[in-house]
Amino acid sequence: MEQATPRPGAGPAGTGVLAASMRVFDLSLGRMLWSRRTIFTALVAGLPVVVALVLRTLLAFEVPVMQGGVTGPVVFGLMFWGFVVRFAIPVLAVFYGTALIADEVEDRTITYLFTRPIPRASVVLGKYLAYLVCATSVLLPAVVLTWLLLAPIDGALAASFPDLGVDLVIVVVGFVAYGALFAAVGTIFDRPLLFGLLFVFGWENLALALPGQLRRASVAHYLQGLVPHAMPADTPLDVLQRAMTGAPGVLECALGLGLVTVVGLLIAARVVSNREYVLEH
Amino acid sequence: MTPVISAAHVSKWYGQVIGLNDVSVTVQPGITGLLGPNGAGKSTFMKLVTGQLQPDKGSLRIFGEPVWRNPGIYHRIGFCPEQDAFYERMTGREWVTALARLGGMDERRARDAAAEAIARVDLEEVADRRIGGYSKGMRQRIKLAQAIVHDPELLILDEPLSGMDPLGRRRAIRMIREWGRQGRSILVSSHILHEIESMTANVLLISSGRILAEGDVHRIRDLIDEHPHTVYIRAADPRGLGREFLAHPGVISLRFEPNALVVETAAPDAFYERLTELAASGACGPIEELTSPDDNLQAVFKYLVRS
Amino acid sequence: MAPNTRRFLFGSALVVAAGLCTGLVAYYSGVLPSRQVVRGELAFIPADVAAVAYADVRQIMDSEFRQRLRSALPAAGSEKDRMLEATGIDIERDIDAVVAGLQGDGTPGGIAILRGRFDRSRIEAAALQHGAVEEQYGGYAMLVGRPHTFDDGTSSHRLAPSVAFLGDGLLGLGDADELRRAIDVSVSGESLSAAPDMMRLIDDVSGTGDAWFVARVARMTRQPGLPEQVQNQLAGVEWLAASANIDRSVRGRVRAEARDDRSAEDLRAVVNGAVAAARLFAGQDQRVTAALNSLQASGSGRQVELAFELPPSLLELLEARAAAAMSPGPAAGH
Repeated sequence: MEQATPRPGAGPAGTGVLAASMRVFDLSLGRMLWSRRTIFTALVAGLPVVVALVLRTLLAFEVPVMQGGVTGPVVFGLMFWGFVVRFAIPVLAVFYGTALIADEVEDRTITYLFTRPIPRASVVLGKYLAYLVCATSVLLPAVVLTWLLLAPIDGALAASFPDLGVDLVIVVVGFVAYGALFAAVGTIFDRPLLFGLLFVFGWENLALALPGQLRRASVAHYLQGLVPHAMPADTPLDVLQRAMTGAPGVLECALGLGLVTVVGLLIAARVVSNREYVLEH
Repeated sequence: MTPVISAAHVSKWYGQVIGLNDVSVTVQPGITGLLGPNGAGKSTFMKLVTGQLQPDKGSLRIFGEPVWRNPGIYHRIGFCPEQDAFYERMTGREWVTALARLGGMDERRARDAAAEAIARVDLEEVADRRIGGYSKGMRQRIKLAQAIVHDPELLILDEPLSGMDPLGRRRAIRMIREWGRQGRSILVSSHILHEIESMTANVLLISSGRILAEGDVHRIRDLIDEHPHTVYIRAADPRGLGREFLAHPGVISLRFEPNALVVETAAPDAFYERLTELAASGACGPIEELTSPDDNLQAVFKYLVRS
Repeated sequence: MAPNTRRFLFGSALVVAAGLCTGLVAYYSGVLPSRQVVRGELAFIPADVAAVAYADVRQIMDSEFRQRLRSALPAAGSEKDRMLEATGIDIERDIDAVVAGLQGDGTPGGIAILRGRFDRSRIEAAALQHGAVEEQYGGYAMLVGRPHTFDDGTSSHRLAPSVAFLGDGLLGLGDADELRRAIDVSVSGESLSAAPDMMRLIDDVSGTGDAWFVARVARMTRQPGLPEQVQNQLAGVEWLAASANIDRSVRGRVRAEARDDRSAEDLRAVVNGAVAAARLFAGQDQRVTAALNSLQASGSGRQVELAFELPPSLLELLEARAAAAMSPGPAAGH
């Protein structure tokens, strides 16, 4: 039987998954970055920066907006937990993750990727890496800017700097885990966006609110376990509820998020490798 | 000699709809035309041949190897899909270079190969413009460039001339014939006999998911000539074109549509020749798009199926 | 990668890098002026102390909270006068900052290093008047007071309250032996500055407030006389750190580091339960409610945190109670 041999100038047959992924990443990054999705990302990521700017402006005019023991680091912590971890990261991951392959199918450009001498799994991995770079390159600067604006209000940059380091790691880890999960969702379901939003705003909130072990079936449970900031406890009920639940340890968080990432990516790669994509004309 | 493509009892279903029905065929080296009306199964066959779909039944091999889930085979295959889909924000050069890199070339080699492929499809002048700003003909040619950038042994071209203007069409046909002369095997699909005939005499006739016949195009040609041929021309001056063709021998009818002229002719060869002359001279302004509905071919296939 | 994509990523990385560099510079250098100064004082605190505390006296004395506290609790003024009489030091005028090292394991003593502007002749006069004798130790002048015996209920200890002039603007207060040891560790380098475990927490709290406190809890709980219940509650706690910012109100944070996740969960439950109970039984006074509402318990892993604020309104309550206590009772009827 005649074997497939590379032509002069071409790479070896069966380019490795990682090398091929980097090439798909290179091709996809610019396309992903300059898409309308990034405008949405920038709007979401820019919100805490705008809030921080407004706060600073009001304080500059001596408007008493920070009362009741609230300091800049506390506001930053609240924003990070309440907005970045619970909203921005999962929502951006849904929008990017579910579209990794779906966008190429919808635009009917998947053909160009699937008729190249690269494993299909590398298309998933390369586009996933592009999403990670794209999402983090927008959100990380926003978190840093927000911190720079808020932390000095009745606080000190130095004191909250170690927490910022942890926060930035959490952003990356959050995108890694949620992205892998929604990459899998995007390859399995026909309406992945709807499913992803239901997961984030429905299932995760429900699982975290209910007593018992259900919360372990959410990504937020493990991600929130890493957040170093204090959370407000407005009512005694909140405090008692917090006393009954417990935050997972760092090791448990790392294992949980790692498992979600690996399983998500494996499922996505497997589905894409075996699926036939019939493009509509 | 190992056939370039060999299909044995290949069937493909889309749910309850059959796309390809028990097709057994071998394609030898050289240029082979896949001719059939829309919905005949051409694209299904192309997708199976390029490993985008997996046969539900039977086996399909390229150069003796299975193609489904065998990415290594794509070093030897270049594919120009039918769909008008691109990374619109990229320039032609960036796009072809990136796809060459996916073929395993390093950056420098990919750039050189892309420049060479772009030159071969005569797009050097616009290579650094965004694809989103390309005309239909340019888009078709840049698709051809990405298909040949890695110098494949087998080129699979799905409706490569669709929507091209007459000059672009003539240039593309010349290119494909040249590639064939250089020793590449080419499988080219179309629903226009005239196009296939200008590239090769060797055709596969496909209809309703079955290969009806394979062999010489001239027999089909005789049948086709008995049926009027419809051509849709989008041009800057359709009325000027209408005046030119009003007294042209073989033209049966003329109809105007917004920015377009629809011509029914019994002598397609003479018609296309005259249209190319007009496009070259610019007497009736630029001709932007040329398509041919497949009504006439449908009629021929109906005849073939009946006979 | 297209040039505009490269430019965007570079810009993004630049913002993150600039933020991180700013934080790093702030963390390791002079954005925390007090911490730079504190390092000098810490050189005299032995590495094995159970706890170390710091107070920016100048800031605290100037704070609105302190002014109001002074009017609410006028008795505090007599302490100041006693200090002036005993040491010749006016705490409101002479002292900028204090760092104290506490043994806390039953051994009485500990030392305080004061930074400020001190009138040496006045201090010497006051000390000599109380029977102190001059001594030179390790190149530093000391005023060693008359020893007296101190009985903590389980054993008796002999202490000689003394003063050491430790350099420009630095004054050591404490037992003579402790001060001599402080001078020794400053020379040998076996000071707190060389204790990474303690310094980790000091770095964390210093700069976050006008006063802070870091303790090795295991050693603190060896203190005789500490109620057994408290000792049991703190058994799982390894470290305790607290800081407070005193201005118009007092904002603070207490952070405990447990031995393991399990102990931390237990402690969190205790803290949360206590906070909840306090809120439930706080009564109707809005000033107390406001203070209790500022309590924020949090933490993950081995960390347990409690943030709080004592608002100015709480001082109003204290003022009212002090006034009620000082006013003469109703006239007795005939």
